[in-house]
Amino acid sequence: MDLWANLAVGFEAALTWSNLLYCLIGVTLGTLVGVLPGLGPVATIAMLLPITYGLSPAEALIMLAGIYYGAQYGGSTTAILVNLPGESSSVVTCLDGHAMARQGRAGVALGIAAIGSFVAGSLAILLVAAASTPLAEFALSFGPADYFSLMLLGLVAAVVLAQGDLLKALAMALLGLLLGLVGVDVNSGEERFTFGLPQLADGISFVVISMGIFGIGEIIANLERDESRSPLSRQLGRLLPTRDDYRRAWKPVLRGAGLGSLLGILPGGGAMLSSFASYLVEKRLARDPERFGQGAIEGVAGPEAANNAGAQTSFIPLLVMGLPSNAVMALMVGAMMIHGIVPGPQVMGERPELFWGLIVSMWVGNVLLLLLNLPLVGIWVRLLAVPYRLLYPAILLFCCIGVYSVNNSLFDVLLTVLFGLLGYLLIKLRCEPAPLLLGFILGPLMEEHLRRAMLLSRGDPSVFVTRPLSLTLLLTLGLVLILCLPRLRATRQAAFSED
Amino acid sequence: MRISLRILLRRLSLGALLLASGAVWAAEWPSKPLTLIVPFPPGGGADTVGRYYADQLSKALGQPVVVDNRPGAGTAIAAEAAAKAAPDGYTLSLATAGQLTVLPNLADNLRYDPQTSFAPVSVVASIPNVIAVNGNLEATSLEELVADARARPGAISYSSCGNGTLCHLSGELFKRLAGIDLLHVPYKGSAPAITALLGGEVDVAVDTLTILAPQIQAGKVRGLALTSAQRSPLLPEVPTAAEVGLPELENAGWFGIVVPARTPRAIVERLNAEIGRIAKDAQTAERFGQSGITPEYGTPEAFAELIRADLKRWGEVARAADVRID
Repeated sequence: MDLWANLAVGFEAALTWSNLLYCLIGVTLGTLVGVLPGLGPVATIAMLLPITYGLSPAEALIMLAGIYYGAQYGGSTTAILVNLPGESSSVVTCLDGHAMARQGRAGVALGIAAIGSFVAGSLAILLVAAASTPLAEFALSFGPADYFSLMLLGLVAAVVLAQGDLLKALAMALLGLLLGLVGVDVNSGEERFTFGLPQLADGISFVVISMGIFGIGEIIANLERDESRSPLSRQLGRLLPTRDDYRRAWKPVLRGAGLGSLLGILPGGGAMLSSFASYLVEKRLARDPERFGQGAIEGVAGPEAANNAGAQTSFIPLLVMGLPSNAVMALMVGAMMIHGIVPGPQVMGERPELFWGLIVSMWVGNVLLLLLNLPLVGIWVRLLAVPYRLLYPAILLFCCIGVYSVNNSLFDVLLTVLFGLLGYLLIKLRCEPAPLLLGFILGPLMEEHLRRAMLLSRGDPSVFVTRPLSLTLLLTLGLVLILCLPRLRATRQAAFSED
Repeated sequence: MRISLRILLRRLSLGALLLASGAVWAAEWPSKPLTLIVPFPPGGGADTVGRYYADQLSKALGQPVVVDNRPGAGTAIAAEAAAKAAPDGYTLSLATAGQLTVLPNLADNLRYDPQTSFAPVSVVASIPNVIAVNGNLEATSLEELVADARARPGAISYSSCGNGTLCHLSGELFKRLAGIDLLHVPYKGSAPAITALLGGEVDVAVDTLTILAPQIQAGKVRGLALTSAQRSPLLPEVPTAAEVGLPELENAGWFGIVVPARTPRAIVERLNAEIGRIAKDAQTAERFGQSGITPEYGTPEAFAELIRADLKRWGEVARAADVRID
């Protein structure tokens, strides 16, 4: 069978000593930048790009890829232990992961995150190996109308399923939408909400928003509490999940793997969108959704599985078509071009050892990461277990370096501070920032696709119901609303009864 | 007469003094690391070209040349930073055709002037554009595409890598020269624009040779015309603009090195000479050739003339097609 022959080529390439070494370097570095809030894979890969001149193409790509998916593992450690997203894709892991840590189950949360990531990563890599070509074609069949319906479904579901006050969730989502509109409009070229500042012309960077609202806002809020009530649990507790944990977590892991694999292929998708989507799905499917936010293991297992699967499959558009789907993949294009490899559909045929070597190395990297993250988790924890008076300045410093390094822009650092103050305000007002982030990500994409769909249909809105994919998504949206209406009514009654 | 001669003499000696100090300066230069501002994030075509020249220039000058990626606002942020830098020869800027000849025609709030803020050193590389179609259309030549578009005006759509980019203006130039109407659909960059072409969302795409060559080679889409004077070894079957009867369609996305205005002439000349040596090195052509990038070289005056001519051309195209930013 072709697949096995290809995988054999891959193993042969991936298991040479030098490739193994660079894989190990990549995933270790990835875990490190993942653990440190602020520093992300984009900045790290950008900084390491010049160094790869001296490596062979396979070594370079294997190392850089390792940094990307390694960061997905590391990011969850910080999210669970300190309630700061080490990585933007681990934002949702904060919600239940940190709640578990406060219940003294930090070890289990870390364990299930690592195991879930490994299982999902392995499944996603198998998918990449077996079906990258048809999957890439599936991604191509997504037109602007289908994207719009998908994003609408995501946004409405986020608001409806949000925790706590519905009105606040709606307000947060709308604020996110508005923030997302800042910058030059793709279709008309008009500047919106930029106040004439060229630094705002490309919009506000997601790193700025997430570091500000989650990182700095959280630190300010924590300074009000005394250190004895530290949210950082020094005792990890047992690391391996119990039989009951596995029973609860295996389905979310599989669903997360599926969801992450699909969303990872779509342009603009990848790890972050996958984890959000998985959290929403798990919360919806749970028999007792009120456990979410209070330390539900499903809320850790699903998103962690999804973000790792998404990180793996976002290589598909790059490897199969030569088209990068996010900033990290754009850097991978750069790494290939440094070595004179033009990314495109021809790479698979012309350089099979590179193509399959990279895919197999991703699985090898996942094995290494499981080893790095389970027995050695203590080392990463110790990195975060330093006292607050040392830890907080260090985190702030890393946040600043991380934000600065995205665009080499001081303006972004100042903006992060502003969003830090906003984040503190939101915590004080008990507003959940997750819908804000989702609105911020999905809003501009929705607008772009809505207007592109209308442009291509020459102004005929029926395109949203005549395309089968779009129609299916819109029907699902209707179903979600109908299913959730009883809950909405109940919430409103509860709200009234509080008065 | 005598007085004017004295003044002349004094001016001459002053001039000699200035020349001498310039020469001394140039002899000392460079005595510390240089910076090359690149207007795009690491990883793209501009970054590849910038890093290569930075690397080669550091070998030639004996001082490190550090690449400073300053992306944003469609290259305006980098241009502004370069325009404000001290004219001491330690800040170089990788200018793009978009930055110096397209953006100034579209935006009225730029804080740099493409012709007076910088001293051009030399053009260093160029990438031609390609017009490609997918299976939605039957056209196998540019003539057939034009005939098809004439038969149903506005029904055929083309994707560009963004509003007010060179891909977009190149497409508008084609429409104008061929006298046809295509629906312009802008995307956020080349990757989604080509995905749209591959997926059949649009019928035509105008983008760089670097981006389109692999897709055409793999038979996913058909290349109908290349906007350069010569055919490319990457796509030997694709005819040039002149061959399809539209010689004025010739245009390219170029990169060049500029320094802040008032940088000493001796430094500009030294840089120009080094760039000339690098551009003529066989290694450079080999390095860039696979990506469809052609190494270029010319005098500072030739570069200034290129900027002037392209400013005028894209200004006319933008006004005719009513392309604006802001």
